[in-house]
Amino acid sequence: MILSYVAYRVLLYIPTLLVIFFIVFSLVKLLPGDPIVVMYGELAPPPEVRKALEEKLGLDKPFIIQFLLYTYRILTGDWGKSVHTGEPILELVIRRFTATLELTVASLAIASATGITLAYIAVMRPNSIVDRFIGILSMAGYSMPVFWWGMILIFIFAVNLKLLPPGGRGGLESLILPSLTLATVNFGMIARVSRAAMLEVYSQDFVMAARSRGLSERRVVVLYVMRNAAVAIATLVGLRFGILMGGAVITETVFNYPGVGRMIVDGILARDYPVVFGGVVFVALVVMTVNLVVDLLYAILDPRARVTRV
Amino acid sequence: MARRELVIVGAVLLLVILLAAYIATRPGAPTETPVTPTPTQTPVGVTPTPTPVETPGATPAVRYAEIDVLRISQRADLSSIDVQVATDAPTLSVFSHVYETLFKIRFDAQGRASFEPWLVESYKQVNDTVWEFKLRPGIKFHDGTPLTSRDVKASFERGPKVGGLPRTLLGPVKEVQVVDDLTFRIVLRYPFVPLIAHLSHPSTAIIPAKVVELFPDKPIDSTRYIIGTGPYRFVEYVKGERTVLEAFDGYWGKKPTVKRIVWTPVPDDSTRVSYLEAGTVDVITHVPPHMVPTLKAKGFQVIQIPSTRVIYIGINVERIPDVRVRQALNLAIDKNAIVQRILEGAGSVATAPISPAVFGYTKLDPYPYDPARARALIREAGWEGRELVFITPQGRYLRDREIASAVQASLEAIGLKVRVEVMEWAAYISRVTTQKDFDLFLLGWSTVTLDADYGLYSLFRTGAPFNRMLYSNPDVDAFLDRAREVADPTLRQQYYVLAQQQIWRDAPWIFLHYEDIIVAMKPGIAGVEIQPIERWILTYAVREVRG
Repeated sequence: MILSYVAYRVLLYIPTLLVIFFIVFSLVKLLPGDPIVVMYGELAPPPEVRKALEEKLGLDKPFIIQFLLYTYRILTGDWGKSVHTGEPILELVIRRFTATLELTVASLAIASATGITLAYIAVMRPNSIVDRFIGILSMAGYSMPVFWWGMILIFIFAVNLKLLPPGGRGGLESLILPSLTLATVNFGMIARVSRAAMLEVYSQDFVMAARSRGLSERRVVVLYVMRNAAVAIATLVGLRFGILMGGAVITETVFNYPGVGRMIVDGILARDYPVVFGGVVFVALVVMTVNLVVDLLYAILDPRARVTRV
Repeated sequence: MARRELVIVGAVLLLVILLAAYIATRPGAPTETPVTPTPTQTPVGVTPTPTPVETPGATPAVRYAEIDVLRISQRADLSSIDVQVATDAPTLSVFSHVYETLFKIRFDAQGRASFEPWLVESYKQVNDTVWEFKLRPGIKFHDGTPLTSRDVKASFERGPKVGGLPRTLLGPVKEVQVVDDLTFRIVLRYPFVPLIAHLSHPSTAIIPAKVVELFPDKPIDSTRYIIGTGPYRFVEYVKGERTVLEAFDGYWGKKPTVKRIVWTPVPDDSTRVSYLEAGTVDVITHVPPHMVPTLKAKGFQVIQIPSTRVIYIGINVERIPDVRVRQALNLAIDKNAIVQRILEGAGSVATAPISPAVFGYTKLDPYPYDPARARALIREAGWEGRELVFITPQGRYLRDREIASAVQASLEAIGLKVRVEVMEWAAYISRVTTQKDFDLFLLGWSTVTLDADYGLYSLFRTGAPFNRMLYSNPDVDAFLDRAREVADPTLRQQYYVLAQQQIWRDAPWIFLHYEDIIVAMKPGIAGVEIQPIERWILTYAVREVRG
C-alpha cells in the first residue's frame, strides 16, 4: 500500500519536473541578454565569434528545440558545464546543494528545538506574561531583516570577538553564524504555529478526559497535546525545509556562503544557462522529495491520513 | 491588560534600541562622521616598495620576510577561465599572475606608464608595418614545454577568434611570421604605433600552442588548460569559493616572495570588509568609500589611487544631433557634487575623455555647473519639455544607480523630462550593444593599454566598435588615424590633444569622473603593487617582521 503510494508519487515527479523546467526555461530565455554578451562585458562580441558560440551553446536553434534538447540532456544525466568557467554542473550543483543542506538542517534543528520548547512553555501558562514575552520574541525573530541581523552577528562574533569566521564555508564553526541567523527567522514562526496548534488541541474533549484521569499537566501536554499538534508543526517545518532548500539567498550573500541559492542567482545574472537549469531541476527534485517525506510522516503522525490517501 | 502589553512591548523595544546604540557606538564601529575626501590620493601606481627581503633596510628595526599564503578578496569571482575571453578587471588580475605578455607595463614616480620588453629580449621595427621580435631564451610554460615563436603565433591567431579584447588589441595585426624558435615577425595591416602598448595587456598573453590546438575557436573548458609562463601556477578553482595559485618553481624571472595566493570572491561590500577586519583575508579590493575612515582608524592600510576608468553618460548623437543640447546636458550636471557626495570622494572630476595616466592625455576644463546657461541652451534649441530615455546598469560601477538619479534630477531642473530605466547588467549591455532606442546610457571605460588610441579610437572614431553614441566627426577621425601612424611621440601627443579638444566641444558624452581604486590590507604587508588599470600584483608582497 505505502509502496505503491510512494511509486505513484515518484512517477508524478516527471510531469511536475517538466512543467517546472518549462516555466524556468521560458522565463530565463525571456530575459534580454545571453551568456555571450556577459562574457564580453563592455566589448561587443565579434559576429563570427557570436555565431560559433551560439552554435556551440545551441542558442541558434528555435526555442522549442532548445527546450527539448535540454530536457533530453537533463534526463540522460548530461547536465553540461558552466558556460563561463567550464565546471561540470552536476559536481557544482551537488557541492552547493550539500552546503545548503548543512545550513538548512542546522538552522531548522536550532529553530525547531527553540520554537517548540518556547511554544511548550507558552502553552503551559497561556496568556501569562511569559506567554506574551515569547509571543513578542517570536514576532521579533521572524520580522528581523535577515541581512541586518546577519551583519550584527558578524560584527559581534567575527569582527569584535574574533571567535567565528565572518563567512565562507569551512568547518563547523563557519556554519554557526549563518544557521543562527536563519534559525532566528524560523523559530518565531515555528513557536507561534506550534503554540496555536497546541492551544487548539488543548480545548478538545480528550484532553480534558486525560486530565480527569489524573494525569499531570506536563504529561497531558507532552503525550496528548504535542502528539496531536505534531501534524501542524511537521507541515510547517517541512514547508520551511523545502523553501530553505531552494537556497537562502540573502543569508548566503551576507555570509558569503556557497549555497545553491546564490549559485542560481549568479547563474541568472551571468546568463549561465546550464547552471540555472541544473540548479533549478535539482532543487525541484529535492523539494518534491521533502514533500513526499512530509506526507509519509503524516501517515505516521496521524492514523486517519493513512486511509484517506490514494 | 492592554496597558501591560504596551509596557512590555515598550520595554523590549527600548532594550533593542539600547543594544543597537551600544553596538553602533563601540569603538571602531562604522560611525556617521562625514567623509572628508582622503588626502591619501597619490598620483598613480602606488607601490609601498619595501627594502629587499635579504638586505636589512635603512631602519634596522624593520625586516621583511616572505609570505607563505596571502589571502585576497575581490568583489567578483572569475568571469571566465580563459584569459583571452575574460574582459573584467578581477579576472585579469588573477591571470596577470599566471600569464605573461611580450611587454610589461612599468609605472614611474609620476605614474606615467612605460613598456619594457618582457618575454621578448629585443625588438626592432623593420619598416612601417613589420616588426621583428626575439624571445628571451629559457622560458618555460608551467607544463615544462619551452616558449617558442610558434606559441606566440598560435596565441595571436586564436585571441581574436575567441575574445573581444584580443580582437580589439590585435586588430591591427595581419599575421605573425615564425622566423625561428625564438624569432618572429609581426606584420601589421597598417602602421600602428601603439602596438607595444597592446602587447603588454594580459589579453595578449602567450598561451601554449597545444592549448590553441585543442581550443582553436572556443573558450577552454577546464582549468587544467590554464597554462602560462608566469610566476604562479593555477592550482585550484572552486566556483564562487576560491582560486588558488602557487609559485612556479621553474619561473624564469625573479623568484616570487609569496608562495601561495588564495583569491576568495566576496561580492557583498560589508562582508568583504568584515573578512579583512576578522582576519579571514589579508587584502581586500573595492573597499566601499564610506568604510575608509573606519578601516584607517582600526589601523589597516588603505590605498586609494585614481584608476584609468572614466565614467560617462553616452549621448545618442543620432537622436540628439544638436550640439547645444549636448553641451547643455554637460552644463546641467554638478560633477563635483557627484564625486563628493555620491562617491564620497572616491573619484575625481574628468578633465578629458581619458585619464591622466594615459599617454596622450591633455587637461581640459570640465564643463562648469551652470544650470541657467544649460536651460537657456535647451530653450534656444527648442528642446524644452522633451523626454529623454536614460538607461543605466545597477551595481556595475561605483554607485551607478545613485549617479543616474542625480543626473535625472539635474536634467529635469533644466527643463527636460528624463525617464531612467535601471537594468541588470546582462540585459543592459545587450540593449546598449544591439539597440539604439535610448538617448542616454551610463558606461565606464578603462584605457587599459595606457595609450590614448585604445581610449579614443575605439570609442570616438566613426564606425568604431564601441562608438555607441554613433558619433562622427571627420576632423576627429583624421587626428585619430594620424596618431596611429606617426612614430614621434610629441607629434602623436599633439594629434591626441586636438582630437580631445574637438570631442570635448562636440560633447558626445556627459563627461563625469574617474573612479578611484580603494584597496585595504592588514598592517605590516608591503610590496603589493596596485596599478591604475585595476590590477593588483601580489607576486612580490612581503610581511614586516619586528625586532
